[in-house]
Amino acid sequence: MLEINNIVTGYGDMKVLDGITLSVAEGETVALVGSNGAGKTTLLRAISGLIPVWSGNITFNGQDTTKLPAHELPALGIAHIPQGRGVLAQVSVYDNLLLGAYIPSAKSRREESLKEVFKIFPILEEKKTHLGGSLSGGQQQMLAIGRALMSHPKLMILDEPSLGLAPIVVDSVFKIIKDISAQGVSILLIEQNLVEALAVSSRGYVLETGRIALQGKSADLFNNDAVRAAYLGL
Amino acid sequence: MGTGIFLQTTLNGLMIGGVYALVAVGLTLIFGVMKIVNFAQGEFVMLGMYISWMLAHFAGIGPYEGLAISAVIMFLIGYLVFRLLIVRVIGKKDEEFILLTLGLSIFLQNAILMIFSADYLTVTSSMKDSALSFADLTLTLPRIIAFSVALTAVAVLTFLLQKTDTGRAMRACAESREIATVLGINPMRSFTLAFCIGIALAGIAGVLLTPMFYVYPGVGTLFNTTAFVVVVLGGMGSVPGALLGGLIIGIVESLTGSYVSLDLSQLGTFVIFLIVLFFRPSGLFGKRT
Amino acid sequence: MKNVKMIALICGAIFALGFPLVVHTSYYIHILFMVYLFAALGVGWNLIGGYGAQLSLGHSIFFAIGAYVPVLLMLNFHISPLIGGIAGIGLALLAAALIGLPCFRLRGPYFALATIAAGEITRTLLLHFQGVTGGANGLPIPFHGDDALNLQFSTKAPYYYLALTLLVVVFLLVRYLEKEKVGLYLAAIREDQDAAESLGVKTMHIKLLAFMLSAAIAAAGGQIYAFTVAYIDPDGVASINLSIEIATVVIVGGIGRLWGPVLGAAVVILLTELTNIYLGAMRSGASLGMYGLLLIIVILLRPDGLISLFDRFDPELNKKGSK
Repeated sequence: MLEINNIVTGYGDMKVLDGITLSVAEGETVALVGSNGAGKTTLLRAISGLIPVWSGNITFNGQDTTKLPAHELPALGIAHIPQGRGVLAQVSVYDNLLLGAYIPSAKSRREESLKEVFKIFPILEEKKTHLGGSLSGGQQQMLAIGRALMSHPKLMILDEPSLGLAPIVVDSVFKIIKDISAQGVSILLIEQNLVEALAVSSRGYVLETGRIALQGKSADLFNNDAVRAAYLGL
Repeated sequence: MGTGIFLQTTLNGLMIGGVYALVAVGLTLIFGVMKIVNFAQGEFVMLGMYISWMLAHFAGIGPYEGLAISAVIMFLIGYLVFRLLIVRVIGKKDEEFILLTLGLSIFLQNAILMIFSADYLTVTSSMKDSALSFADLTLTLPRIIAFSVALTAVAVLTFLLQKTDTGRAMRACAESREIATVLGINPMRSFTLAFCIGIALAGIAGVLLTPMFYVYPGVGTLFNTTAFVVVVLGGMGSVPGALLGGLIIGIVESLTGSYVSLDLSQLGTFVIFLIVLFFRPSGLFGKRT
Repeated sequence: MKNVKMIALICGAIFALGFPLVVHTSYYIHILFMVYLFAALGVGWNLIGGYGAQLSLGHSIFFAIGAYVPVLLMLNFHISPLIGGIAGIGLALLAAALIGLPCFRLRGPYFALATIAAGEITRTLLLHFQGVTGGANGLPIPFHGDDALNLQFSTKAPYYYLALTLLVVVFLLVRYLEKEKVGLYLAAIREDQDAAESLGVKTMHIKLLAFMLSAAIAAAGGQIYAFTVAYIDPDGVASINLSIEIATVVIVGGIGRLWGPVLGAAVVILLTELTNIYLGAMRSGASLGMYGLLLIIVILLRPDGLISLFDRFDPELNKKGSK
């Protein structure tokens, strides 16, 4: 579904990604792990078209999206939840969700989608007139995910969903991610929380200073000594 | 006797404040969505006035009858300015668009000066001298109309922003271009719309003012400075703030003009401006940065 | 490269010094006078607007102080403008400190707006207190014969040289400061004020210093202008248009660059005069309209200013603390 071929890019003169090749198949959940500064967020932003790519290409469902303007990607079925949740703080929960269905294909079935999202996240219905910024971290994460679901994406990209959340909340977030994956949505997940990330995904990539250092089945990566030493301190 | 004058002055100020609010709402909309301070907003008010004059002079259409036409023309002018000039400085440094719009302001003033000369022009309306009186207070019809139309326009804009998809998209852009983008919103479209609406509102304000003000090339400067004060007072990017701010400034200016000195009427406005800038730069409804 | 620069400078100096001796047309001398004046004002403005990256649109305040104070002192108390000028500069320094202290807390457009407000307040007050300032009618300086101590000359040439001297002095001063700590600090502040602050640079002090210096220069310019045209009024010396004109000169030439204001003044003043000549009947609109147009064109096409066109010939030629 998503194919990334030898991406090289960065900011200004600084190269951050040095030839990344990665793929996410339909229905798969893939984890991307690595320490801070390895380039994970940069990669996601490149996929979403928020930063230009110097060389290499990105294909989604067979279509080359490398040079596509960023705002055209959601219509193809990609939903990106940025780091920090990307909830619009000055906009109400209700409006946030409606904005999730901005693309024409989602707009027509907006009402239904809203009902479904409220079923999964009843707290959002409760707080629908509240401003996005007034929600707690965990609630914001639910809002972000709910908003992404409004567009019925084929691929969901999540940038550090566990960041800044209490462990209990993190657990529930990952349970939700698992549920979404079970419905057939492909997921590309960046996480520093290795345990949760590898538990919920089938495959993983380890990114280190702009390159893929390791890749393989999540279970294998989890049992890999080098990985455990570097990221779990074991 | 004192209260009579006080009330009349306040009421007059309130009415004109509505028009200030209209200009300021346009300015704050542009700033909110595009993060650009349009230093030429006053000049677009001036353009609105000249358009109104031209419609009256060449086509015999009065200001109120020609309001819709003027609004459309201003919207198109806004679009032209956006596509030719503004679009090139989006995302660049603050200083660049400040200077660009400043340059535009000077250019427009003087281009109009060259075309129309510095003569003070008037636009008459059959309603100019009608007035409503109650108690000891008088309200001239042009003032009432200006106030009502201004408020209606603000209400319509608020509805647009709060209840329509386009408006929601604009609010998303105002908060974060990036988040808006990943939701599928084309920021350029929101910017274009915000700018054109902002300019159109200024133009409408100009038309509403013509029965009450002389039309001359430099008239925009007054409204420019006032609009900025209102926007800062109300909070940059806040439409309700601009509305409230406009009414307040209208009243303050009117009272200062009456009780202190007519030529110092703007002074009260500036004093408020400086107070707000130094003690609460985020304004009444702005976000605290 | 150095040789070419040297030759150019010498030619320029000969031209500047000899011009009034050869050309006697008052109009042409006046044009060059304006070029030098605005170049000097621009060099001063550049200190805070270019090197300091704070767009001040209220410089007319200082120009007006520099104009009104010596004139008022001379007309009312017969004090020579040579002394009155010092008072004017002193008052301008004070004003700059009073305005800068609270305003520098503001960033970006807020600072520009505050300076505009301050400028407009000044103009309004000057208009209002007409008993002292003559209000909208302004203050003419009656000519009673040559009197160097009171800056009264019957020909334009002495004023021309005054302006030229101001320009040279100011230019050399800024050139010197660039290389000193002040210049380096300003460059750091311009790059990233917060970073500079955390490194121990007293940003407020430095910015105030630059602002006050630029105010003093504006005041000196105002004084020379006042006595040259022998008439001052609030709309002429305290208007926002003047503030914008000063800024335009610097931006067109090259903001933050040493020669920028000089190049800018030459280009802008000459272009506006040409516009006046060819669009004669529509004088007032044409020249100011040219300012606006130039500003727009420069911002859109060459925000670094015309001087950047010369950079390709010598990268070291005019690089000022810009990295």
